[in-house]
Amino acid sequence: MTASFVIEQRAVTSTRERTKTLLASIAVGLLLGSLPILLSGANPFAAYRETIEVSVGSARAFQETLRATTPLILTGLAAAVAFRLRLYSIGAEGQLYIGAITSCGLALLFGDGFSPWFLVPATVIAGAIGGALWSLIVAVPRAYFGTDEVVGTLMLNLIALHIMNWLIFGSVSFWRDRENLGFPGGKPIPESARFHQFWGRADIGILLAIGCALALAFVLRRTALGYEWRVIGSSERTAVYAGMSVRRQIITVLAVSGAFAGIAGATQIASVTYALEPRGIESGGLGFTGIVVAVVAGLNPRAIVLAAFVIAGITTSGPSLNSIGVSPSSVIVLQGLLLLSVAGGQFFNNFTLRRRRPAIDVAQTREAT
Amino acid sequence: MNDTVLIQSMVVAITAGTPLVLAGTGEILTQRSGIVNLGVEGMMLMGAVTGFWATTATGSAWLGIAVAMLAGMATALIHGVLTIHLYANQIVSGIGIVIFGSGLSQFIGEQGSPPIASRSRGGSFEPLFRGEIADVPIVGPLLFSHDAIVYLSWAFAAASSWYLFRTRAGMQVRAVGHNPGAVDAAGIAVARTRMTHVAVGGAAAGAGGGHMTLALFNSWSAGITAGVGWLAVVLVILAAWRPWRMLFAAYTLGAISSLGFTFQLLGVGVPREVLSMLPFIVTFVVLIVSTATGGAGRAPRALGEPYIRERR
Repeated sequence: MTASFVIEQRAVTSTRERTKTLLASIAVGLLLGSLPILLSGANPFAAYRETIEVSVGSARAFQETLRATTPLILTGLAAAVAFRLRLYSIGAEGQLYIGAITSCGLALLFGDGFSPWFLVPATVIAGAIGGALWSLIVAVPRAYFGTDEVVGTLMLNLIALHIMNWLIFGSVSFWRDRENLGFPGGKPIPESARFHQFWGRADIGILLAIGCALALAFVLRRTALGYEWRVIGSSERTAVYAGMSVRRQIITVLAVSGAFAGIAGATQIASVTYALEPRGIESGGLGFTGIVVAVVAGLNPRAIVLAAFVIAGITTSGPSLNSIGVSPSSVIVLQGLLLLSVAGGQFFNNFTLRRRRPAIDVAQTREAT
Repeated sequence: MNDTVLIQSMVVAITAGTPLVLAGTGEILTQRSGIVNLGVEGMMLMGAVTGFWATTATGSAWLGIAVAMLAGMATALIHGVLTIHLYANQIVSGIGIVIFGSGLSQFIGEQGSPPIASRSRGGSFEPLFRGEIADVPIVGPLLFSHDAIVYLSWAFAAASSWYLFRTRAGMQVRAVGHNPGAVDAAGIAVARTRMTHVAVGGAAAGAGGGHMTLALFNSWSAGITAGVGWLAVVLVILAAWRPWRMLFAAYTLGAISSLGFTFQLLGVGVPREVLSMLPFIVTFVVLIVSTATGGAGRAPRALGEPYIRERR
């Protein structure tokens, strides 16, 4: 007998089995991710302990991790809602910048003298609209001409980054702090536009993000819209025959995706930088990390909340790993490995390896009957 | 004559466009076989850091480029195994390669004493031709003022074009990209063809990254490729999967990117941020217009789809 294993296609795979595959893939990713730690000559367990201590070891640490979780939930949702329709928008990064610009702009425009009950929702909505509009620049050509959305969103990311930098570093714009003559910075937003901190440093941003996740989960499972998205995601042709407007849904989904990313931008302004600070908003690559979050969570909105929390914990503890001799870049390596191993692990959802059965001798079978 | 703004700008465009030519032509070969590898940026970063390391350690720029190619290839093979044998989603895996490559290259850059990131050049590519030939009007600076890698990138583009459109093997590659099922039935190994071309694309991207650290900057810093790898992926579409057009597209983009240099020579003041945005805006507009008018050229029909023999 030669090759003793054959690849066999699976007819159906239960959610339970999919979850098991996902968890196994994550475990493989984490295992491979400890290689850079070993190479640095550190003990991986010490690194894990450090990570846990720095991210959830104290109330203060836990609150900071929650704050870091907020944008990752939102960019994760942005990636998930689009990926579910096989629309590979990688534009969350740029939409986040534009959302930060619009929401910060609105906060500065209104200025003091407004109740936070009005100003905070208004700036969040401004961020959502900014992100959605930025996404439409690609969504419309994608729907009507079939423009490649991967490449289109990619270009818009780079353009958005330069716009944000230009507003602060290249011009004396409305967003720039004109009173500060030192290093160029953004004008601070009014106190009333900041997120309310309800528990130590933890603010309402996390509630907003979880609310968005639950809302998306509801739309996906319980509404006609979510049903149409599911059909389009599994077969565009079926959707067309069923009379669904695929074009309109492509535009809607990409706009929703952009809105989530735009809200993430708004949360960065209202919770972290309190001004349009390109360096602070850009750092961390929240858009791309959102893709890691979405894929690791199996594109499930509620699992995204959990995945975002874990990845936020790992990411925020990166700099402190220096103290035990581990480079913060190992956190980026880990993120990449997680994405790769989950992508590769999908194989086991669709196929199984089965031991090849010995060939039945036809002649022998005949004699027996 | 040779000091005119036009000539000087064109020379800079060629220099700045070379990593794009290398990585972009490599990606054309990969995509012609039906695999999208979005990981070019990651593979270039790996080539850039390992190439620079090898050169500072040994003093040989050629050895550096060889190491850069190997590193790019090794990174690409991860994508190859995942997408060809495990049928992984090519977009997700490609993004994984970018994140992995940018993290690992940064990690490698921090190693060694002194760290690679703080080393100065230890041998680099210098202009190949010396003396009078480089002073010939117009032709001298345009054709004879470059380093060896620039000439090799021209040879690579020419060879790729000849290979894809004039040889039997190249025709098979294009067939694999269009209709792997039929090619498989004709007895050509789909998986092996794809793997080879993913590897070649990775080596080319690694060389492009190596050219950046060994000829353009003579130093390494984290994220040194600054989006060039992503641009290479975009240019594949604009070049309609043809190596010659890639050469043209890369230099046009190189020229737009070096407008800052040109304006500086002309004494025109345009904000730096607006200038660095320009190549991306131009590419984006061209992308939309070319798809809207149907002039984008046809992508390999099976591009991005895994070939699953069991489903044939």
